[in-house]
Amino acid sequence: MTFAIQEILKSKRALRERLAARPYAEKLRLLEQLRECSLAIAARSSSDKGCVNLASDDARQT
Amino acid sequence: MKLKEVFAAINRMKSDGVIDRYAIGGAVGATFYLEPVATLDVDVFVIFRPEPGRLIISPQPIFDYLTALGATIEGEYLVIAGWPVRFLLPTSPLVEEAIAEALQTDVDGEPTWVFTAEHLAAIALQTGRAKDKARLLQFIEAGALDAERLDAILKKHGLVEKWQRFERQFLSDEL
Repeated sequence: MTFAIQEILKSKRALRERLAARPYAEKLRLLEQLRECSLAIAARSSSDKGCVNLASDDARQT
Repeated sequence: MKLKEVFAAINRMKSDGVIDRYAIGGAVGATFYLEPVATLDVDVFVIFRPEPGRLIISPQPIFDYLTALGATIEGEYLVIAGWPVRFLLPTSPLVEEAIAEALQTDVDGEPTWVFTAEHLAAIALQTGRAKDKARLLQFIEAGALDAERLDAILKKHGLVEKWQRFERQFLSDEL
């Protein structure tokens, strides 16, 4: 972990580029997970299962 | 995937002649070029086949067709496979052109059409809400736009001045 802002920005940019480069169908699957998460939050669900973490290993491999 | 079911229903409607052409815009369209852009709905821009003897274009045939397939109506949306889908008619020559020049792609074997990145950017500029400007910045930061192509679209549709204002506001180092 780093607290250097330039490194953080560089890392975020790289993650966004990796995500953008994925096939459309894969990105739409992530979009569906994001939507489910948003709906769960909106419904004040006590559980956040199913919420996608785009930086997680699972998301990277999706 | 549920979005694939949405595209399948729209394709079926196209095959059956209810609509002529369609293209996906909004966040679902932008996701073709960018990282997934969170959204709660799907914007589908459609061109109707002209109905003989009818002067007023109505989206009613879309509602009739899709509700017969099991979609439900929620306000301005048709809910298909759990996704609220908004069908929009082109409101400007820019949107008409965007539909005509949309790119064909496929989602797990289901064909669909998506606005080009430059048309999405130009429409965002034309619409001009805060979230549209934020999306336009995303396109620029991602390097997703062909500058020459965007320039031609902006000139053709009278958006150069608006672009210059946007540039001054967001892309200039000057305070």
